[in-house]
Amino acid sequence: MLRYFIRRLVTAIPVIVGITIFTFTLAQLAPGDPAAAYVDMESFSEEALNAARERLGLNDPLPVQYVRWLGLTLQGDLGRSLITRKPVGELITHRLWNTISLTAASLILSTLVGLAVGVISAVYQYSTMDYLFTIVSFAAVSVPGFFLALVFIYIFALRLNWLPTSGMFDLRLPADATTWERTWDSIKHYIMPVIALSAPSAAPLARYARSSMLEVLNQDYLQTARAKGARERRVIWRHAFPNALLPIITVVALRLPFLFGGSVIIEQIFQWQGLGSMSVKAVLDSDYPIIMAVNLIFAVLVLASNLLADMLYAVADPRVRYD
Amino acid sequence: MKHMKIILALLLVVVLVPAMGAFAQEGSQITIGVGGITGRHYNPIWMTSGAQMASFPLILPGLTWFDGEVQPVLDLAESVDINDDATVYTFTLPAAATWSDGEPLTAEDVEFTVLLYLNPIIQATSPAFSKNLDGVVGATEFKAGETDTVPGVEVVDAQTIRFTLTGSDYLFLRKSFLGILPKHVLGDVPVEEIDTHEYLDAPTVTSGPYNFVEYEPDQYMRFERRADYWGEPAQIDTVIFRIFEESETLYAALEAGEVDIASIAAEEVERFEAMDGISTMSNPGVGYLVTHFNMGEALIGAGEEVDCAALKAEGKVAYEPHPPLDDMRVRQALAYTVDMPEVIDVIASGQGTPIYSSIFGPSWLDNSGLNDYAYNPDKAIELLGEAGWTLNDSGRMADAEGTPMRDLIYVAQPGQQSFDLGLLLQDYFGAVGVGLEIRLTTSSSFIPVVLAEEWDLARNAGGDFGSDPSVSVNYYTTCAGWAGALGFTSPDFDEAMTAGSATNDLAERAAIYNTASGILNTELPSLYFMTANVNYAYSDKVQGFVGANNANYMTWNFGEWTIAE
Repeated sequence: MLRYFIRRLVTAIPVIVGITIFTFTLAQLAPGDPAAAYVDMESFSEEALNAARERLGLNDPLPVQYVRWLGLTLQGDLGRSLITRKPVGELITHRLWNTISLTAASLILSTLVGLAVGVISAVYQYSTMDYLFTIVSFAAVSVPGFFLALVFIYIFALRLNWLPTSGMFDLRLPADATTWERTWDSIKHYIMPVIALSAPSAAPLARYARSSMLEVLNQDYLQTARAKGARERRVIWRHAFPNALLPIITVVALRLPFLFGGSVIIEQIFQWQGLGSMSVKAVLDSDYPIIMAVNLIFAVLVLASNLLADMLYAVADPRVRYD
Repeated sequence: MKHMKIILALLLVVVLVPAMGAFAQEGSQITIGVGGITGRHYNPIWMTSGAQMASFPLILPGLTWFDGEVQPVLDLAESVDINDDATVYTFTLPAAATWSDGEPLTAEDVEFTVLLYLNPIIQATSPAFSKNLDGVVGATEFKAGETDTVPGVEVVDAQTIRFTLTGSDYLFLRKSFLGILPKHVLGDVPVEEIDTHEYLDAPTVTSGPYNFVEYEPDQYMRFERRADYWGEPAQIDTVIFRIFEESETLYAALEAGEVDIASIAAEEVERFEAMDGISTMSNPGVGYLVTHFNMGEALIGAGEEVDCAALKAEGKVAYEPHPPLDDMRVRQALAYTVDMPEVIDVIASGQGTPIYSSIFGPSWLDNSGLNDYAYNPDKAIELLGEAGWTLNDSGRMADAEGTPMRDLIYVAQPGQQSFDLGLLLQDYFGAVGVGLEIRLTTSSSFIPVVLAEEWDLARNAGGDFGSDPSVSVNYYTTCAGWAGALGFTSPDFDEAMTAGSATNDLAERAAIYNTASGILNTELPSLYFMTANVNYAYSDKVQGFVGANNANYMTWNFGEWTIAE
């Protein structure tokens, strides 16, 4: 199996290079010129814009620019932002953790809720609870995360005043605030973005879990387990659930890139200082080095989550062999 | 097991519910909501955004700043002596002035800051307001790298700095607001390396009433009151400038009480007015809302490299015509199609004042003689007819040979207001048979699009135009950035603008600027719409706030602000 995964890792390299070439070309074709940030709105001129382009190396042919970027990246240097001239690696590291913590919390929440709702719906098929969960799931799938976010802000921040409207922590927190106060403040800031990001992921997962569980619940070996005197709870969680989990592992692992994608909008709405809000700004400013770095990270994440799904599948089901 | 769950639930309620309350605060604190920071660094040299302009006077003031009516006032300087013909400005610094690390603040700091700002290496990074010091003797040569000194900047003694100008300029106080930097911190840093110096984004040594605590890009700046401040101390202990990229997020934070004060859009005034604990304030604005006309595409008279200033000196400046807008009658006709009250209603919720040129204030300027281009589509059609355009059978304007006028291109800067204005213009122009295509741009594509001449009308807004007529110099004087892009040139206008800053007699200035205003009003290099009110919403606990006619200067009297218990 190790050889299989090494082979997968090696084949991922040309895919990543291909993605970077595609992204680089696309970023260059998009309207906008980062050199515009170096031109005074009161005294701009073609000459000033060209001089700025020259200084930033933007007048070089595209292949030259790409190879220069690739060379630096291979050495672990993601270049400097064209706008602030700060190292991209430094800027991204700063925000990567914020995005990871948001998406990880969302992944955990959506998985737990999705699985729980799916299993309960399947076990109590055609019950009132099943119908209720089905309706809620369809609603959660249909309502975009950003709309949910705005509704949450209106209800929980503006009307009830329970949660903060945005940000990652309360700037007014006194310097001598206790660890508990800081932790609770941080949790409060996580609640709405995490739920808004999780809901659209949890709902389809619940549907997958329900159908997968229903399929398993009809298997003969469960009847055997019951006949041998196993309690219903053990039948469901020990015998049915692990088998129903197999197809869901792939679904969960592949939700990760979607969560990262969804975080772009959620981060904007909640002023969350992550990669999503940073990439929106970078696109508007045509800040290519940042766009490239963020896309590179997302590409690696997609490939890694695919690989992770395969690995988990093999771990969960001993029958699966990759060699 | 069942009891265990109940106990756990009760524990959660006991622990969490009290924690949901507000945190206890020590000392007074204010959170000011501001827009995003632009520019290279959080430093006065690159002070290009409102967030910077509102915050720097608290930590790194300049010799001068602006009051609520955007008139220059002394800030760091204690006094200024101006000679008779306004060619020599001598500023005196307070003897007690010190930096927050205890070092004395002297004229050498001022000299150092000015030379750093004018340094060619810094100039290549597009510092803000880069033309402000062009009038200082030797500044342009130093900026171009031709000389090593600026003779017009002279340290007289530790507390006195003298600026000598190339010509009379009674408005130099409007240009001397550059925040002063500490020479003892940056003086030994090679200019080539200064871009990476940590002080540029963390100005920990300050001269204003506050200490800089921290700046988190795209999040906030935090200042604490200086205990050892040499001047009149501020009254609020902690100041937080919270940065918002989206105005809707800012409004939600303001409504929830997370932000104490912010500038708000006109359409939000009514909503905030109705809220308990929040007050609103509307100040007359000084910014303009216009769409520039593209009248000429490129300078004629030289090869590929065009030296605009040299051509101007020879009286040769000219532009390749950009039909149909090169014809003044077409521009005037389009102005007559605009229903100004409707524009003000739609764009500024009725909170604006129409303007008829970029020269519309301050109060000593009498602008009553200008053409108001009151809504008159018939007049528009008549003027277009005089310019050779008539309505064809399909309701489009066409020339004498029957060729329809091409659709004009309106370049919209990012933002809903910009787009809405385009939609209105589409309706107005369409009513007289002129088509308009709206093209959206991003922050990084607007100027390249304008320079590439792929436009006919370009929206522009903001500025301090209503605070003094001289502000228009940088926009409409031949060879200025926008004038070059518009293809506008008027020797009479140039002459008037030069003469206007060379006198201190208000009556004389009013007469001169009336001439200049009349030229813009007749030739219409831009379609002038309005100056919108500047609106604020603030918590009732904020006392002493009086607002400013440009939100960038909202903290101008911050020393008088207090926070009620």
